[in-house]
This record gives sequence, structure tokens and C-alpha cells, in this order.
Amino acid sequence: MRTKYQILLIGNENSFIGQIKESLNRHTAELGVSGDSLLYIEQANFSEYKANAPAVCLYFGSNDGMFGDLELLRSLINDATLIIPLVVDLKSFKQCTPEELHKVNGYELSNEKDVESLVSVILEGLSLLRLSRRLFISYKREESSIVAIQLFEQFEKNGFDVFLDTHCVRPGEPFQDELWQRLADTDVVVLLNTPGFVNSHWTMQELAQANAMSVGILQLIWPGHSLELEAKLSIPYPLQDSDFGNNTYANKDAYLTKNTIDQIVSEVESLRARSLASRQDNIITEFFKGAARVGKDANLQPEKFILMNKPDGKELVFIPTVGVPQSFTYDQSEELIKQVKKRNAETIFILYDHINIREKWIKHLSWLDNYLPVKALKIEGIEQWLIHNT
Amino acid sequence: MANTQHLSKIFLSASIPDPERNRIYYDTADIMAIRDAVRALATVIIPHSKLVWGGHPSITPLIRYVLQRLGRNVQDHVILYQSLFFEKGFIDDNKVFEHVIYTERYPTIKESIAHMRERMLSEHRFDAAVFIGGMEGIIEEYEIFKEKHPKALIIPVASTGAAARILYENLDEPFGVILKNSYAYMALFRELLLDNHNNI
Repeated sequence: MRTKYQILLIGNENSFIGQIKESLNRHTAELGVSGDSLLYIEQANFSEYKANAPAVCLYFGSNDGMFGDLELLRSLINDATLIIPLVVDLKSFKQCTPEELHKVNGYELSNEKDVESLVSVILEGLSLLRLSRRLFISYKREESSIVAIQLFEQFEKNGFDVFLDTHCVRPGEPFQDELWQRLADTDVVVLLNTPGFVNSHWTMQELAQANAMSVGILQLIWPGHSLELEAKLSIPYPLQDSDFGNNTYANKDAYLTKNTIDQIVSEVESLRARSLASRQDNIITEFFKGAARVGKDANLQPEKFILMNKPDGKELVFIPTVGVPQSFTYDQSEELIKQVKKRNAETIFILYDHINIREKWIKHLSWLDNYLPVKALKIEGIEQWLIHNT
Repeated sequence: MANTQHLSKIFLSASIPDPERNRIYYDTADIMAIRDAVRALATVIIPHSKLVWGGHPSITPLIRYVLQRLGRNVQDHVILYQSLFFEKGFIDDNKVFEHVIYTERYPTIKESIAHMRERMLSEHRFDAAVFIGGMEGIIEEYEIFKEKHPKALIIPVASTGAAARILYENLDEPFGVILKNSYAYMALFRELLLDNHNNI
């Protein structure tokens, strides 16, 4: 089962659809993401939509007040899917979109020039831009350095920002903090599980911790070696003799065939999509359900932030993050920063899941809170927080 | 020690299917979903209820991690059962839990596990059971559980695939479609186990 990046196109007919697809295909190809990783979903094939894969929905508005696909739209709002309402002229936004979208930022799509900026919002919505495509490869130098370098090169070509965990044997030493930080901000970890790998590089607790942080872990398992019982939460990728050049795998010069490398890249792309969706989905849905339970109305904006109005008319902005929450501008997209700054919100909150983060950083975050206009906010206990603060 | 008698008790039955065993489980398993669901269940439930499970070596470290991150004194909220049949393979995780119940070893693995299940499911009055992923063992645990706790809430998390999905599809109970469609597990468990607390 391959997980794909989904682009939903619903609402009314629009003459720019072909051009949007063409531009998206071109940009994803430039980023190294293969065309089969994208899935366009329209009303006719809506049953292919999967709630566990990343998705951005384009809702095409209409000038005549007749709005299509309202049922689908409501189910997507309920799923907390990112929705971008598109209209010909922002001045008549409310007349041209169904009421459900009135509190969501709209985009103007009136001529060809608007397509490019829309496409970049879509790519950011799917977290496909290069800076946000982080990959971590961990391997044992004496056993698999050629394969590690092969993968490094191919993943770079495919638009990943790759970190090669070359640290040598750290017998019994726990992971250093900066490695954990790297790891928490990674979408996918690829472990080259050669026979001597797990005991020298990762303890079972480290594996469990990476899993508990919801990072996607792919284990390439060398022929004749089996996956450790405790490691079963990772996605296994068993290698055969025939995956290696000259059918030789038992020495450090062993290398993988081109075909196998390509398959691994495709597997990683799918795993990334799946793991990203799960991390985002959990935090965003948790927020919306929590808000609904305490009777608060909130809206997910196309640039992936949540807007809430207080009774006194002031606005609060919540930015869900999946890795380590840093200062506001560190890891956010330009479009998000632009939109958030425009709001002139009372406070900006970075929403995070503290189960994913180490104690030390949480202390650091609370300390930062005192100095920045941006505050870090735990998703755990969000209801109580909303009751007391909004 | 705080009095935890009043807390509801939730039984967790979960494992990762093995591709080398019966493929009907592995082929529909969503390993990421299994992992997320276990993690979310532990995060949402441990502060409010008691969680009881038979330690599976891929599931226990996740719960251990969540328990440590919760950072409160919630040791009384988790009870881990382990059969002494696996004594040699016990992982360090067991040491982190204060309440580990070791059950007697029998000549075969099958008898040892059956005995552990019998004890685990007889020694508590459960309010609910959550089934995540899994293989034959989950179906067996369901059957014993249902017999001993006929009124308890049954939650087969079908979106994790494997045995949980088979339970969802085959049991004659009106399960919500949310169990099949939703992957936002924190919200899901909160809704089913905490908000509906009066029902369980």
C-alpha cells in the first residue's frame, strides 16, 4: 500500500485546473518527487481519498452562488483537512464561496500568473518543499558505508535534506542530544540493519523512543539477518542477495543495484507521506475536537495555522508543529509567516505534542516563553487551556 | 500511595503482525497506525484510568516511553503481565514498571500464554477492551474477555488493520465507523473512553 500526497479538486468547474496540475507536476518533478507520488482526487474518484495520507483541498468557488460538492467539503472540514478556497476576486469572497469557508483565507485565481503562487502554497501544505524534507540515515561504517553513500546521493537528488549519521561506535553511550534533536525534526529514518548494527548504534530504547516520537523508520535488513523482536514497529525492508551488485553483500564494499535504490527511494517517499500525515493529523484533530468539546469555534487556514476569535474580537493564532518547536520564524514557510503577521494577532502559539520532545527542550521552551511574543503550548490539556484563556 | 480503586480499568490487546506467520493479519496491518494508536491510548488513558496489558516486546517500550514522559506519579495506573516462559528474553523495560505480574511458566509456550491470559483477564473487573493490530492472540483474548466481561465496552481499532479489523468486521456489534476511518487516535480514545465515561 503506497501512501500518496493527495490534491483534492472540488467545488465548481474551473478553467485553471489543467494548468494547476501541470505546474504541480513540474514542480514536484524538479524537487525529485516522482509523479506517481501525487494523487489528484475529484468528485468522481473521491472514494480514493485516504484520511491517513497528506492532503490539500482546493475548493473552487462560483459567481452565481450555486456551490458544488458541499457534502464532500463538510466531510473534509470535519477531518481537519487543509482547504484553500479559490475565487476570481477576493473582494467578493463571501458571495463566491459557501458559508463553511467564510472564515478561511481565500486565494485569488483570476489569471495565469496566480497559478504559481497557489502551487507554492499547495507544496507547502503538503510539506513537499526541500527544507522540510528531512531524512536521517544511520549505518555502521565497517559494514555498509558504500550503500550509505549510494542512498545519500540518490535521496539528495530526490529533494531530501539528508543527514548521514556517521558517528562511529559509541559503545553503551546514549544518543547525544543534538542527534535526538535532529531525529525529532526528521520525517524518515533509514537504518541499514547489518548484523552488527543494532547493538553498536541503537539501543532498543532509542528505537522505541524514535517510534514513540512518530518518526517513520525504515529498516533495510541485510540478507540472512532478521529484524530484532523489539524493532518490529519499524517498517521492514528485507534485502535479498539479488538486490546487491554481483550478488555480494557480506563485505563493506557491497553496493545495491540501481533498481533496488529506486525502490527504496519510493518506499521512503510513501513512508514519509504516511508519517507526516499521522503527526499532523493527530495534533490538528486533537485541537479541533478539544475546541469543539468546550464550544469554541476555530478555523484551519490554508497556510496551516489555526485561527480563533476571542469574545472581545481579538484573534489568537495557533501553529501546529510536528518536530521540535523552535522560534516562530525558524521552521515556518514564508507564506505562513506573511499570513500570520498580517493578522496582527494578540498572541501566537506554537502548538506541540510534548510526548514527542525531550524534557530538556521543554524547559528551554518555557524559558523562551518569557522573552518571545510567541508562546509554546502543549496539545495535552488543550481543553482546560481553552476554557481558561479564550 | 494514592487510592486508585475508583479508576476505570482498560484492557489493551495489541501486537505487530509477523509477515512470516499467517499473512491474513500482516497483509492488512498498518504498522504506523498500530504504533500511533498504542501511543495515543497510553497518553490519553494513563492519567485517568488503569491500563492492563500482556507485555509484547514491541508494544511495551512505547508504553514505557509515554509513562516516563507523562512525568506524574502514574505508576499505579499501569499493570503489565508477563509469562515467566519468556524470562530469558525479558527486556529492561520491565524494570521501569512498578506493577509487573509474572505468571507461572508451563511446559509449552501455548500453555504459558493461555495461563497468563486467564489470570490477566480474571484478576480485574474491566470497563473496556481496546484491540489494536495483532494476530490470533487478539482474537483469543477477545473471546476470553467477552466471556468474562460481557458488559464491557469493546473497541476494535479497525484502521490499524490485522486482527482488530477482523474483529470489527465480524462481530455483531454496532461499532462506529470512526474506528475504521479515523487516524487521529488521541481524539478518538478521548471521545470513546473519557467523554462517554458514564457508558463504561
